[in-house]
Amino acid sequence: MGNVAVIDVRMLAAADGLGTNVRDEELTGLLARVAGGDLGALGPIYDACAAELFAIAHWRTGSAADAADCVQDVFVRLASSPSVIAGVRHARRYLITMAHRAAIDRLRARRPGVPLADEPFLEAPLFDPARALDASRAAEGLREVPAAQREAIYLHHFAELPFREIGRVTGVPTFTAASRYRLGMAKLRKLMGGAR
Amino acid sequence: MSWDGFRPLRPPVALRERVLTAAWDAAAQADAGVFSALYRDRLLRACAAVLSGLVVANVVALHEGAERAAPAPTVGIEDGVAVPVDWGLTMAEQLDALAPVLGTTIARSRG
Repeated sequence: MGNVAVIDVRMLAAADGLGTNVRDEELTGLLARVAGGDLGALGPIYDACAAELFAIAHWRTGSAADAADCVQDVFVRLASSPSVIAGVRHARRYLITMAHRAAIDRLRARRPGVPLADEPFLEAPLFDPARALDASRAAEGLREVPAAQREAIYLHHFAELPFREIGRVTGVPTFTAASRYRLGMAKLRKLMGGAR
Repeated sequence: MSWDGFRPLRPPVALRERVLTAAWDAAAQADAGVFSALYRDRLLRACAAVLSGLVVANVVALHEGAERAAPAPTVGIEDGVAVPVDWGLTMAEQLDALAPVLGTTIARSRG
């Protein structure tokens, strides 16, 4: 029975590409299993959420290597302090918040002046050269957008969170979250020559 | 601008193995208990030693303080006055016990 649940979650995650189709109740159940000492639930949680957590950390830190470390930090914390996650009610929000905080910690620990690897923030669909060019231009523009604004763009467009939820997971008022998104998009449009 | 078809960079495939291995290792270390952690970590041992020393010093200090705060017992009565035992306490520490001997109350601050 447990294996069936694992396969379901993996299929949902693979279908969407980001894992956002996995219902919060399923994730909460998986977290409860980890809280109960069942570390086998970490795999399905990874399959369901890792892409999203990786992207959040990538868009915040600007570095894919740091983002990978952030994902690792999140799962290490889940595994090493199961009692903390026993009472989590909104699993996806909780995991996104953990990824956000891990990214902030990485940014604070980063030595100034160290150049970042130039991984693109976006990938275009295969077999579409025109969209690939657009993705490349957008990724270049995103690199010029401040990290907090870039993160707000990701959370609103790709994670599909409303501004109130973005404010919750990033620890800022709703108005600030909306402002970050608006300013980031304005800057991105300007950098891309006003394309809409 | 349109985001249609774009998707964020995905994590490398090898990350799954790395993350889950690190998580299992962390869980194993968390389960090992405090004595195993003390055995492994020199800094933790030093902290535990310092903490133990502070606890012992605190217990000793409390014990001495209790002894010094105890009212001085009296021995014998001379001319109708109880004389405290000479335990080497200071005048200030014996004020209450000596008040009947001195026959006067000395004003002092208790702050």
